[in-house]
Amino acid sequence: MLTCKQVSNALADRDYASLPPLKRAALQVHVALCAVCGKYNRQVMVMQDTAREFRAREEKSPVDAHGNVLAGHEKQAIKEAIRKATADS
Amino acid sequence: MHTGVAQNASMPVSDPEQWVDQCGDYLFRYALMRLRNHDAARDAVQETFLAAIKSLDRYDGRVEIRFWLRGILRFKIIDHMRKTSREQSVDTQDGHEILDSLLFKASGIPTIRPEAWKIDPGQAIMREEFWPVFESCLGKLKDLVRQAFVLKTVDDMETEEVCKVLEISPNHLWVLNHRARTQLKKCIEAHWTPEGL
Repeated sequence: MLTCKQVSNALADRDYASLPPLKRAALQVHVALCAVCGKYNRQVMVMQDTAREFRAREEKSPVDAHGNVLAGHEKQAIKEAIRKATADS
Repeated sequence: MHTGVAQNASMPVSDPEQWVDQCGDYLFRYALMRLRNHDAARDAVQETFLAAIKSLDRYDGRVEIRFWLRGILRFKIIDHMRKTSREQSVDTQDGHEILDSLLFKASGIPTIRPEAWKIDPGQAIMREEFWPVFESCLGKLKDLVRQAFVLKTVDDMETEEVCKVLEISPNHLWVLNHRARTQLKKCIEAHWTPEGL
């Protein structure tokens, strides 16, 4: 059996999805049923789920949800800096 | 000089200039989300490329070049945060929060009982339209609150490391992440309307 302290500390420490499967399952059961730490820790888990999904999306698409990208002239300037650096080396 | 480095057909490493077109946007997005400043993000990406050229012989081709470059970019981002976090102070006006964090640490029992979500966040995050809302809400957080949330929750960094970068105590980190969660939830609930309701 896990205590509230063990559950809360584990969730404060890292994303619960990266815990070993048995520990993760025990933690999920505790949080789902616990009248003491459930409300709070459910919110922590929701944010970890959101953050994990965000990381996955970030990997898939080079453009954020608002379409922010580097301008053409900025890319040109970076290329020039690279050219200069490679010529110097 | 660049021969002998493993080549990936879709990502030639021999011509660093091509990195700009192939992974410039990816790296820029990564930096912009964490720094929330266009110019700072662009500069971090440029510095990453320049640093990568110098240590290209250390790239063994085992990971995609964009992930290797992202590793370098992370150092640049953290450096930038370290510099700017010194100019920010942790607002500890609310002594209750700190007390909560201490109680929580000692017992694992939160004195805070946040309200349940008004929407189903598990469904919302699977929808494309959720993410502009999430990113806007994240942008509305105060710098230090956002940085604490991004490093700890989004990047899943060790507590100790985050505290070192932001020069804060673990209790403050707990408070900042709690604030971030509360404010994000409130903002998302106000701006996200699931279709069909």
